Amino acid sequence: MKKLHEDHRYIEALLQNDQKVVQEIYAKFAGKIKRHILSNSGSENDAADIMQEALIDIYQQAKHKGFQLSCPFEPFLLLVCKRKWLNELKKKSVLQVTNIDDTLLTVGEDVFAEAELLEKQAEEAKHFALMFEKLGERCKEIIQESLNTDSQEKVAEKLGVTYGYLRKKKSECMAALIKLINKS
Amino acid sequence: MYSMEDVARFAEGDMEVGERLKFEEALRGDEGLRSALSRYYDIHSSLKMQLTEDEDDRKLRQTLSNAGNVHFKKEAKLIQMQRYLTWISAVAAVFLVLLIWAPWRNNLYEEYAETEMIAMVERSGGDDDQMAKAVKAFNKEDFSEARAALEPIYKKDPANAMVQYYYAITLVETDDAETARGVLEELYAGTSVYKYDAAFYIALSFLKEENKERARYWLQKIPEDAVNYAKSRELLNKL
Repeated sequence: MKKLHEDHRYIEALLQNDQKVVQEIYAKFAGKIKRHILSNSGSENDAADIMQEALIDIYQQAKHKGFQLSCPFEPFLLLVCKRKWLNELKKKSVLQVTNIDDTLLTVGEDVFAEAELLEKQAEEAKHFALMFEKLGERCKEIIQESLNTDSQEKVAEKLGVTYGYLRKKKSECMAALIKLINKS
Repeated sequence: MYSMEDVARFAEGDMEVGERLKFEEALRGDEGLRSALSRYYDIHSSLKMQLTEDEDDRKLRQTLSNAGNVHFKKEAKLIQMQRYLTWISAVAAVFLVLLIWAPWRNNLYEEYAETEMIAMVERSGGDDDQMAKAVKAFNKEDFSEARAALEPIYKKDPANAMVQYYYAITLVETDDAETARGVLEELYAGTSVYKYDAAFYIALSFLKEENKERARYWLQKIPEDAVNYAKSRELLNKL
């Protein structure tokens, strides 16, 4: 078991939508993220987007995948933002990362591992969603509605099918999706 | 031997007691089965993460964007705002045209489909002529020609949001909705100003196929602070 870092409170704050602590996160870290992105062919606007996306990723994975922080938050968040920005630059194929970042050299292994896990899970989720789009419309509908609503009775009612049919069909559709994913 | 369907049924709690106990028994001795089950949970939670958005998510997004507005300077956003304004006036113009046309149109897809391509001078090295050709064809509603003109531009610069957007529209118009949705989903996953226009168009593409359920699903993804929020809700109401 990894030990929870005291900075996990920041992740808790995201989960609770704690406005005060979110302000604290921005007050402490926005400046550094901005500097990094501005010195690597980005704008202030890009920096704001990247920071928000990084925090959303962290929040989502804490919410759905039990993500827990076992390293200090600051280098972790900075690393996540840097990697995100690097990916953006690659996409735009203007890979001119001018500033060789010496802070990267001082980042601990635990921070690297944690950032990598976050990125991997985010990428994976995107890939799964793409595979999901390849399913037939009925399957998509059933899975989507089941994900949206916890009550399967309500889903059955909404889709106008019986509860038994929905459950059977959902298992079939999920199995079909997993086969698609495993093949990809 | 358990199938993937069985694993799904077990994970979803859809097994009868007897069958469930047997499955649990098998789990203890079968590592392959255990890993299939944990894979199931993993995929399920990833899908939930990627495909759903609840009230809490939207609230956090709002909190973050408020904080972002405080801690990042707004100047940088001006350029984007101007692009929004161009866009808003363009949408207004399209609306005007639609208002006049609406009585003769009863097809919702056509009513909401993009009818004008606005070439924003953003960047386009030697592609200017090609782009001009695309704009001209698009605005004549000759979508196969527009598609042919946009395709090479898109292939060369697949991350250009404007190109992605209009290219995808020509795909929808030329009945290649599947490819179109691939392009639009990528656009939606990004952070460009076309993010929610992409969601809107995915909805339209489903509408064109008379799949109202999926159209509704995509329209609902458009948040209150998006430029096309009102339009999306208007269309939702008509569905």
